Amino acid sequence: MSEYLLEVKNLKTCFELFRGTVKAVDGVDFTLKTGEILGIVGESGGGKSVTGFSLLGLIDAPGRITGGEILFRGEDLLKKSEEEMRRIRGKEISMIFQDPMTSLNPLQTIGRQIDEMLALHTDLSSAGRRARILELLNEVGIPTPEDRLDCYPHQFSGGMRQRVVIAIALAANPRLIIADEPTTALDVTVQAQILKLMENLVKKFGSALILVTHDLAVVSEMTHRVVVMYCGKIVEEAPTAELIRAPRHPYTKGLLGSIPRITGVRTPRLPQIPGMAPHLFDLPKGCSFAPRCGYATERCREEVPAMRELSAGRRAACHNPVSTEKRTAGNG
Amino acid sequence: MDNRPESRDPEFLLEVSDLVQSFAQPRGILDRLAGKPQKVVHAVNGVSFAVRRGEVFSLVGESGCGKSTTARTIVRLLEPKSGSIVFDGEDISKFSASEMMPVRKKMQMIFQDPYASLNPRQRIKDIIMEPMLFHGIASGKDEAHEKMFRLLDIVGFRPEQADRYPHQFSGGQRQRIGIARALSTNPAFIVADEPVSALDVSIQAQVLNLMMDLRDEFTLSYLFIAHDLSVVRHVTERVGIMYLGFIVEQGDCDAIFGNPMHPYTKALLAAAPTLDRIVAAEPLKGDVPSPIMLPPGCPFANRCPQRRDLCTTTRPQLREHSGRIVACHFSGN
Repeated sequence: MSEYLLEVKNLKTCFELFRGTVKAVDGVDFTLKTGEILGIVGESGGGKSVTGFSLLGLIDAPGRITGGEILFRGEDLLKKSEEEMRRIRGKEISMIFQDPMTSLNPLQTIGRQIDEMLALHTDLSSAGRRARILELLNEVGIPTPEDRLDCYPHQFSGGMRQRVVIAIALAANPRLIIADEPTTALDVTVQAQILKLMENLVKKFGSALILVTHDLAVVSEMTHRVVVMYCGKIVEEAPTAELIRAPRHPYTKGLLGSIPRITGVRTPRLPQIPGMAPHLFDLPKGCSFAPRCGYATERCREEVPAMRELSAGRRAACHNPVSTEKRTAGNG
Repeated sequence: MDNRPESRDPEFLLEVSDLVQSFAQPRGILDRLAGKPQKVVHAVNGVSFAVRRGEVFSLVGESGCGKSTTARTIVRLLEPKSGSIVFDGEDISKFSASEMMPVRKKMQMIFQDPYASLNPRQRIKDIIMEPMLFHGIASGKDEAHEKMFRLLDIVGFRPEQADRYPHQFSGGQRQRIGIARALSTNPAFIVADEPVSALDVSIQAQVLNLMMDLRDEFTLSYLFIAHDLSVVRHVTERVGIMYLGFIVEQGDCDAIFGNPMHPYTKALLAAAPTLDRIVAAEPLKGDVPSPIMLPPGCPFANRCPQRRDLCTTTRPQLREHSGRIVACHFSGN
């Protein structure tokens, strides 16, 4: 078996729509080791959520995974039957969704919703499951779990609901957790609680985590490595601290520049990325970012840049990567 | 400072004093039969602040803290329960709808959701011209057309885009249309309720820059409502931090962000994720109390790491402290 828990190779997910085919994920490669926290960042339409859903085979028509391999513990998930996938989802790989208001069943008590997961994926007796539920609720920081088992989701606040969702995701001790914008719907003080909790639990249970988010600040505090996506492709990958300190792809640089800082010197104007992301129906001929890029040359408008290794563990798909030496304050 | 009687200081465009807003929760027939008391949500509990001419003042806080309700009450989309709202020298808190009409010209709003705040059946040009014609800013269609094209140009659209409908634009573009609509009546004051929180980061920077350019060009004052602290810091001169319908700390933005004094402000700033922090602070525990049953003491007492007995029994008043006002019994320590 390979050293990687997860190896995604050339993953392609398309949506066949009336107006044409949208390549939402277009040849994505990345790997993940046990214990690692990987961030997938990008703006809306970048393909980060579709990548997450594709890993679990949760792509509904008119969407379709059209190519590539998803090797999970050496086995290609794309070759599995729906029946086999059902046994993997929740047990081996589980998912935390963005909206804690809609990802729980409003008609079932939270105890029952966690129990369902345990009944499906473990051999525990009913008493054993109850003990485990209490343990899980305790683990995710829900006070007096005995009194909360019979509560319905509407009796919980947003942060509490997201804790329940995390308890469900952790119930069967999965090896991989995919969290899609897990804290976007939450307030900052609650977000800090939930992120800390997820980080601790991943460490404690020795699982791996993929954090899909638009928030580079969250990524910078949580992850070991980051993949930046733009228009369905990975444009840059690097260890988190290096990416934040010295981004190489102009898009990453532009994204980082356009975030106002909470400390330090205040600039009168924010550096901004001009224009907006192209529609996935009509992507430009060369690099998708070229029309907005300050570094673009003729070549960028003609030829799609291939992913290149820039240094150990760092790669970018760019003809003219930002040099690491002169890091000017200007925009990209 | 916390209770500024109608000073009518010309320096201030807007002065809000002791604003109170609450909502009675609908009572079901069963509750009524059972004789259960009416529940009241105390959304805004005596908020006072003032916005200087040409200034950006922000109200910051988490969901349910009353910041949007405060904004909506100030523009009189909601009737205030009590308190005064002095705008441009006039107390508008008890104005009738017809008395409000001339005021609304000078006071416009930009909303959070660019998908819901534009009429999907109106063309962009009509969306922008309607307020001008309604308020009689333009004498006729021709003048309105001319002004509309100028506004579209200012917010970055080409003239031929004027005939399109909102669905043909992205979120950031729609927000710029909303800004053009707000500018169409030549306002002096704009209330912006989370204007960039629905936008992608790169687009957010564009809209923030536009709003700040317009401030200089049109000498606008903004009341900015937001939960994103880094955005607030970028645009704001003075800030009020809200919690459970109370302002807990208020003053110069740089001073407060540089040296927060209220424990909630401290926790809020510590919890905000940043790009350059190595070690995250210990997160705040617990949840915000219910606005139906306000705690008798400090609204933040149940989550405060520095709580003492006094905090659970006596509500702290806003006090002057190192160039700002803070509502905490122990902020000096």
